[in-house]
Amino acid sequence: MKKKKSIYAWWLLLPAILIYAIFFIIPNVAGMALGFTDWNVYFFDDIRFNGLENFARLFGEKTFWIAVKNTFYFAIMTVVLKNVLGFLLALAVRRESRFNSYLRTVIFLPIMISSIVVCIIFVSIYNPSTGILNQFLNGIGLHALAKSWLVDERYAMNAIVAMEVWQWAGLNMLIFYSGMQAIPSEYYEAAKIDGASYWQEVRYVMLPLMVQSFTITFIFSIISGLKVFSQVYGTTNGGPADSTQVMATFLYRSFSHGHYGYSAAVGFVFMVLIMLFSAIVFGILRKKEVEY
Amino acid sequence: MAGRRKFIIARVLLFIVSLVYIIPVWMVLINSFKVTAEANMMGISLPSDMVFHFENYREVIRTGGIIRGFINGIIESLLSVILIIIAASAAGFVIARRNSRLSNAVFMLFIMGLIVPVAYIPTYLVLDRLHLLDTYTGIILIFTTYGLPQSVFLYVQFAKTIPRELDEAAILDGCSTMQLFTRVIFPLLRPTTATVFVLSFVGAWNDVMIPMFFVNGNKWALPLTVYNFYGGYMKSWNLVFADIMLTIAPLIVVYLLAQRQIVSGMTAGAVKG
Amino acid sequence: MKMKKWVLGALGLMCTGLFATAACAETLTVMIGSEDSGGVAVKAAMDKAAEIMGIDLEYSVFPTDQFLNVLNTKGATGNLDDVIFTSYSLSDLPYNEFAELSGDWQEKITDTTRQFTVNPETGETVFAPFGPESNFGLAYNKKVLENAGVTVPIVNYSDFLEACEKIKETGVTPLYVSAQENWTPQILLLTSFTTTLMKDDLVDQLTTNQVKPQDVEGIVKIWDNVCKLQDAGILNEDYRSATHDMGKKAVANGEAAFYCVTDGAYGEIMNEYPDLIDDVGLTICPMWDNEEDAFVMANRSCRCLAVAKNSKNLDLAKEFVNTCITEEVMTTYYELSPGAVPYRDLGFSLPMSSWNEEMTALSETFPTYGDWCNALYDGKPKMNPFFGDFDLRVQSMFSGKTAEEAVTEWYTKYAEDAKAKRVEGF
Repeated sequence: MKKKKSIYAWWLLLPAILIYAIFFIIPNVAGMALGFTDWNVYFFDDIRFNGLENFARLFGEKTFWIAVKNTFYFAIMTVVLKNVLGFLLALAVRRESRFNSYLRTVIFLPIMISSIVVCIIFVSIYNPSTGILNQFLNGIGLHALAKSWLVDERYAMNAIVAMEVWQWAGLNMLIFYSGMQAIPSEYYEAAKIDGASYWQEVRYVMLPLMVQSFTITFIFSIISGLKVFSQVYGTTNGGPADSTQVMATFLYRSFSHGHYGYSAAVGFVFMVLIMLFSAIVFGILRKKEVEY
Repeated sequence: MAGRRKFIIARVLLFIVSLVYIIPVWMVLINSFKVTAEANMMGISLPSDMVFHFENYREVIRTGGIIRGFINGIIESLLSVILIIIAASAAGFVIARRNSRLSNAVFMLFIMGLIVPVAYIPTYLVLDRLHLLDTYTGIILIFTTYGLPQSVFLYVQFAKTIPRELDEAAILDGCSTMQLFTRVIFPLLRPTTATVFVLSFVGAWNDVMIPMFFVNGNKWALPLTVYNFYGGYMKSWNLVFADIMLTIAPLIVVYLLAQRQIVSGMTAGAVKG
Repeated sequence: MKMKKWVLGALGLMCTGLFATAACAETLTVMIGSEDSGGVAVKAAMDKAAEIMGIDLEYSVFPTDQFLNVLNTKGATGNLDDVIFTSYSLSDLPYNEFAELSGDWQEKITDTTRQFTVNPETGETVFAPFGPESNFGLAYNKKVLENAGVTVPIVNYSDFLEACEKIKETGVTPLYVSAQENWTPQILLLTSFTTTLMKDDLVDQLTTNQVKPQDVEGIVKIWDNVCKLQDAGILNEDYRSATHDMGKKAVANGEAAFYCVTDGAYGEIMNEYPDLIDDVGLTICPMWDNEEDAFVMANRSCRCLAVAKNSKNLDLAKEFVNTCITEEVMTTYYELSPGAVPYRDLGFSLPMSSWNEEMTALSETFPTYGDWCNALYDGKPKMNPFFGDFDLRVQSMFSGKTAEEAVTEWYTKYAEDAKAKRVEGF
């Protein structure tokens, strides 16, 4: 054991740790401590300790609970949709052909676009009177389906979910695609000989061998789902009447009003919630990974 | 026959799916060539007078600080990605190999970075203390910091798949630790490096909050230039769309040119073989 | 080896980047919010001033909802840009970080605007008013009203509803509301709410937290009047998703009779629909029940220039401000966005809009907002620090909240701010 340790010199960790400690750990630890103060932009240099007041205020805010509910809704919806769609798309494009390579290129394309810019594009697509979505729905006679997407609280959250799935399903597709590439072809052949149908092949050959891919897409989509910010900020900014508020926009609002102590407390609670949720999901995933 | 029909239906469906991806970008592109009144209608047809108003782009470039934004984006994204790759690959390698409690703790710290929301004001104060506010160095280090967790995670995942026997063989051949890493391990990590490069570069290039707080307008990259045109009182969508095209064009061009390498690198890097 | 090359190349790039920015002299940096920069007039005028001085301007255009936070953060640590253009009031801003300004214009600021330009602690002038003094009100389409036999001013809420019914009979949408953007619905209240607040010593009681607005009958009533507009069947159907652009268009071409605006809309309609601007007038917005509460919303210039005390180009920045308040620059501004200039006797005249003239005429019959403030509080902007997301609260009534809920949330929000600002009583 001792000999091995000497090979992997700890100082290779230094650059990463140094940068990370100075610009991430220090500010965040300080930030957490500030959650127990009334620090704000008006008394920037005069910080007063105020105990648990920020937390009491937070749990008393109706909007906070709306934000928690919406965040989990968003996360669950996008995790499911991004993974299901990503997987189906990967199935569709996995064989090498010109058409499939075109599809892979096009579906991965939105990942290159800044999410704030994607929001601006979708704000115009979703525009109830001039947007192309409603124009298309009206054009094919489906007037009843043409809604006030982002301004009606019944549809706003789902409209944002759809936008997120549009932008990021391609990443999951690519990860699944490569997972599929990595499965040796003998496995399929064996299944064929056993007379397995296409879907049986997918279910019993492919899925079990792709747990690793699912772990990665789950981790990325859960975390990005729970941390969702720009997608909401750039479209509804939490409106109408706080109906699409998520944790990050809620945090951002208190922060942009200059209530730094309070927003640090919000961030702290926010982090604990994400950690709890992720721990549960990862626990389940790890168990699955072992099973297979 | 049934198989053939199924195949055609699948193709048509998939083609429609691809349209869902292309039409929004097309909408942006075509409206960026129209006059304001027509662009505000956001149609997807060609300009009604069949005149392409390239002057929209001239106007955006003249008043939007596009060229400076482009240079800033290149400087900030490229340098931070290089730092990320150096720091994260080294850290990822050591974390993957050392199975001590300490290295696991370090790994958990990085994972926390994926979860914890950005503490803007404390970070702002750290930069202020170090006299790094409103400097390229400062923003590059911040981009590096926020790119590290994801990149360390990916490097650790991939480095675990490289057989340890290689390390021992290399050391027996007389390699130092540094040489082991730079000559043997780092080249083997290339697929992950491609993934990290793409994700971190895109992340830094597209971020708006970090530059907004930590540097002044003359060091902002392209995405923030859209606010020159996307105001609340009056929207000239043709200019907004022209600005958006200029913002996303560099990445899309690079992506289309290098997509084979990016896709193969991305995929190999994300999942072990 | 390859890696070393990369690193060296990177360092080289970094250095050139740094030198490239250091080499540019005679450049002023300007902070501005995206809402303000969207208006053509402001940038055109500032560019004109820069051209006269032969310098370059570098704009940092911030998304509006982040502008105040960035200004205050950078202010608190002394990192502001050279010049700041803002429509916020001084009480929200880090005014101690602003440099004292002086010029011929200083003595000529109108009484309405003057006290909003002074650092309340030192008495120094730190704001140079640039944009016109504001007139908020109800824009109306003259042809539509004539057609329906409706005359303005309308002096109370029930008369207003009656007029709307008449207009509806002619097949025109009586009142346009554009609640997609949070800043437009609030104008309905901004133009009608003051007299309710100014009763007795209500403002004193509110600002010291002795009274909560949701407990004041008059306040809830006038909010409710605005809320009830939805049930009266007089709004455009898509009022939740409509935008300001759509509202301007509707009132200009006669699809709608009324639309509540700030006077900035005049310049916008003038530029977008030059043939139609003469059809549109501006009048008072009677959301009050009692005619005695009628007033004209004529307020200070809220678009001002400031200079950062810590600016490395302090003298140049001050000279820039002085250049802005000269004939050539102001003319550029006011031709694109006509309005009531916030100065007396500048020695040249600037284009006013027919809206300003109309409102000035109305102010002979009705008191103005300024009169109310002056009479009761020496014109001090006492309620200014109690904004409490007023805009979002009004908007929320158009997404299903009741007036009482909206007022209560308004109180909650402003009380949080007041507490942060350590206002006594909160």
